[in-house]
Amino acid sequence: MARAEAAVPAAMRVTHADRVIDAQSGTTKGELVAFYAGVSALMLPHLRARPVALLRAPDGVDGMVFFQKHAEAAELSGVTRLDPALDAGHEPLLAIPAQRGLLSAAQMNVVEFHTWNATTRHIDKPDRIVFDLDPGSGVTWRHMQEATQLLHGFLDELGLASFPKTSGGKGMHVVVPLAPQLGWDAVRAFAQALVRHVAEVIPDRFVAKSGPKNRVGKIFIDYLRNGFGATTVCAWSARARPGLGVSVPIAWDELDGIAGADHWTVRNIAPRIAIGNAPWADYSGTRQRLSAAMKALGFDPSSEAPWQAT
Amino acid sequence: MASHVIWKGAISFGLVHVPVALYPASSEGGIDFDWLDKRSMDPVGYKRINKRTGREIASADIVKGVKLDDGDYVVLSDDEIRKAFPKTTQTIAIESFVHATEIPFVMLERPYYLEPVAKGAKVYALLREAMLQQGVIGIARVVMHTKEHLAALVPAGPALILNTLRWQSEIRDLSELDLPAAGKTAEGLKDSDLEMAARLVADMTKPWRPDHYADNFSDAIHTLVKQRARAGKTETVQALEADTEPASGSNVVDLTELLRKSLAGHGSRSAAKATAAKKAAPRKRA
Repeated sequence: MARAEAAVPAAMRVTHADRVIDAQSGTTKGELVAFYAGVSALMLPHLRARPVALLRAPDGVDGMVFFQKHAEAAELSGVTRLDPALDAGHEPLLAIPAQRGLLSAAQMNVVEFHTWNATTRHIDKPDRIVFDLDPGSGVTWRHMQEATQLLHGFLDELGLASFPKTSGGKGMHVVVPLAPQLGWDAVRAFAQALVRHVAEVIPDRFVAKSGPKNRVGKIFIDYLRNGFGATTVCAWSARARPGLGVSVPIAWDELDGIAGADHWTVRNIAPRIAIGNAPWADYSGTRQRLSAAMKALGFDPSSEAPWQAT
Repeated sequence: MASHVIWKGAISFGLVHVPVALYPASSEGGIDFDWLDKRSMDPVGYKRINKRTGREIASADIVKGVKLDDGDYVVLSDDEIRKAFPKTTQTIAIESFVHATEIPFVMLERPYYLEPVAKGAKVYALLREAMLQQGVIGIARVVMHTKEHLAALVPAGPALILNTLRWQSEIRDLSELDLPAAGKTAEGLKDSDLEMAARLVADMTKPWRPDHYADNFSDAIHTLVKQRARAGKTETVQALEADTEPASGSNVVDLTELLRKSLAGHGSRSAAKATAAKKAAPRKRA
């Protein structure tokens, strides 16, 4: 594997670099920091101007993990505090504008980086929908692949382009870029209506209710990640779970060929770095409105949630 | 490989890990006879009925029961059945190696080809050659389609074949049958009889040539169908509106179609496509 250590700036000091943070793969903290140095150029566009939540695993991925959404006393170099008005009543939200923030966070035992569905410019208007396909027990990867394609096909029927990424864990993420036009409630209500519809049409494959009992043998499409303050793991983030999977953007025609949502890991990511964000080349030019899709789905936003179009 | 990958995972034993894709090694060569109404050439289908009343029954009203020996039933919910599904492991976990001749034919179920993936070729070849050298096959557990199988991992030329095995409990007990006891003495076989029979068998012993045997019935029907089609003697069957109820295990194409149809009646779909397509940049379709 082409190691990325060289990319860690010389001024950056990694303490306890030899400590193994994932017993399954034997990956050390130093390797994780080097991983983030290697993927930072690909990851920063996904982090740009978005509030970020950090998942820390100070005792490695088998130990306790902590979610941090707001600034705390101990500051991380390169992790900026956002305008407190964005999330009134809380400590300021965080953002990571440059590589230094990623690396200093990794040095402070952050393993996962999660982002909001809105940017600081339009914090009240999400610029994407994320569907998180989450398999219940007994669901094969083949069924996951099919389910992801089914959701893709359905979004396509609704006239919405969508972009897949591996979650780095068991599930797949399907991202629908939006023009920041509707409020959180309307977007989430639409996402929920869409998921319910799919689960009603194909009840033996999908469920619209969370909870492990509802999910046995089926796939839950999680629409709850589309509310204010909800986050999804960022593209190119590692996952704090055995094996250290990585969330990787893929092209739709790659889906059949990958072996699982944890196909790529911190250990085997190197060859994928060259491909980078190319499978999502069309993402940044895709700014979609939901009105036609809402109509096609028979979704009446005014009856579902209070919202306002601009 | 042209056919469809049905499972991806890895062969594992000890510290060895061989990433593989699984393909069906056999195809159902039988003939499908679809039923048609001879008066109108419409397809013929089934209805599920209550056998007592003869009336059709909605699938929501159907529950699953297991019959007991005394004729009573135990009813299980779909949830309970699903909970009994084995955990998917994505591994072909080899538990031991045995000599191939130890496995009776009656246990063999369905063959699959394994193809190495993700740079697994070398360790795949290593496992195959080591098994050949030792004259053994692997006995493994594997979960496919929510069902756990026992399977034999068998080297065959360049391939590793995974042949699912029947569980011991699925095989009928021989004691139900009236069989002459094993061995020569039970039926008082004479050496001269045995010699004669053995000579007859030896005379007819030849190398195994599977291509010498064909399914005559299938061939005859295929030939007949081809002749009729060439002569233009075919009937057109009008496709019906798809059943709104999805069969479990439906393929992804059918399910996509089902989702597409589910939108019918809600405004104009093509309008939705056209409006958003202006915004969406061109993109790859899988």
